[in-house]
Amino acid sequence: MPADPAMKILVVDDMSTMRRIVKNILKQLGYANVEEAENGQEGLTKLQGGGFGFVISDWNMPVMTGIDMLRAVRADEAIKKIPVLMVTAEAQQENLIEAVKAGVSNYIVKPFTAETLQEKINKIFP
Amino acid sequence: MADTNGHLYAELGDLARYLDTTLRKLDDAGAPLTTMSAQLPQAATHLEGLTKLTEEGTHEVMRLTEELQDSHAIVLGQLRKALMAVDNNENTPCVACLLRESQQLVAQEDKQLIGSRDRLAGTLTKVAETLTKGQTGGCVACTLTQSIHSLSQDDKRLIEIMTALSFQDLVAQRVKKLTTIVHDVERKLLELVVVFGLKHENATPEIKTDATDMLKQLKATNETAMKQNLVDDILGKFGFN
Repeated sequence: MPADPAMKILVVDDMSTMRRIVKNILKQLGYANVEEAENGQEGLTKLQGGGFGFVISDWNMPVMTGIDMLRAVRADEAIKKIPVLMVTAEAQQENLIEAVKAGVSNYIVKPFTAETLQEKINKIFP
Repeated sequence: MADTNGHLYAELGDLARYLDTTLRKLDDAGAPLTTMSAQLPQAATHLEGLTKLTEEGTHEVMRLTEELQDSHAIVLGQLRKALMAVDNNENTPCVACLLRESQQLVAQEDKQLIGSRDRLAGTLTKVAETLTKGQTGGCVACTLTQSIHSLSQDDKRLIEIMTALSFQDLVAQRVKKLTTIVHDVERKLLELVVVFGLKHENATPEIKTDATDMLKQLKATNETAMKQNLVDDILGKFGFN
């Protein structure tokens, strides 16, 4: 199903610049309903609050990493179906495989372009 | 017996001199070690300051870019309205008003995109003048379409500027790893100062610390980091389209 432009998206990253970049690209792509979280724990709490249709998360974060948040999401019956796109500087093959095993919906390595983000969203919401 | 005692005293004397020399050398080494360990916190502070500076600079560029994007969105909306009005042969002075407003908005934009801005502002002025004189037609619609295309191209460049700013995130992550290493070196150096370097290199096996991990990660980032196309190839093997 194509992505709904009104869908609520959660951007999880400890760096404010990165959150702003992702939010800006999403806005240009037509997704204006975007919320932010600074780490995996905050992200998980917001997701458990309900209403989100998509998550874009970094990997390396304090308190709770992106991969731990992903595992927690997939283990939670109420939110386990939410697509999670990992956008990270962790570009080692083992990271990618770990993310796939944890149930990632797709994976982007930093630095990335708006086209790459759009392409991945189109793949997640065909 | 006397020979043996003499030899023993001589050996003990050599040993005492050796110990004395060693202690003096350790004293000499102690001062620079202390200075270095005192400078390392400053180095860590400078590194953290670097992250803050790049973050502030990046946010300022982002703020200006977002202002340009917002302004472009308004101009694009007005141009599209004007184009629709021209296509429908609606009231031309009103179209001219919209164009003038757009021209003013473009003219107010930041000087960074001056070339593109001036071309667009010039075109909009010409269109507005033509419309004010009551001349309408396909030519005006064409020019409006070109202006819309030109603005859309600028919007793509603005998104590229935004994404290029992700360098700050990558820099900050590496600086964070470097700061961890500096803190670890500082701790080890302080230990050396305390024990005058008795535990050194081969004396103890390598202890796994945060810094060791960070060094490995930094090395790995340079040597084995994958590009997006390789990531996509691997994802493909896992059944991702």
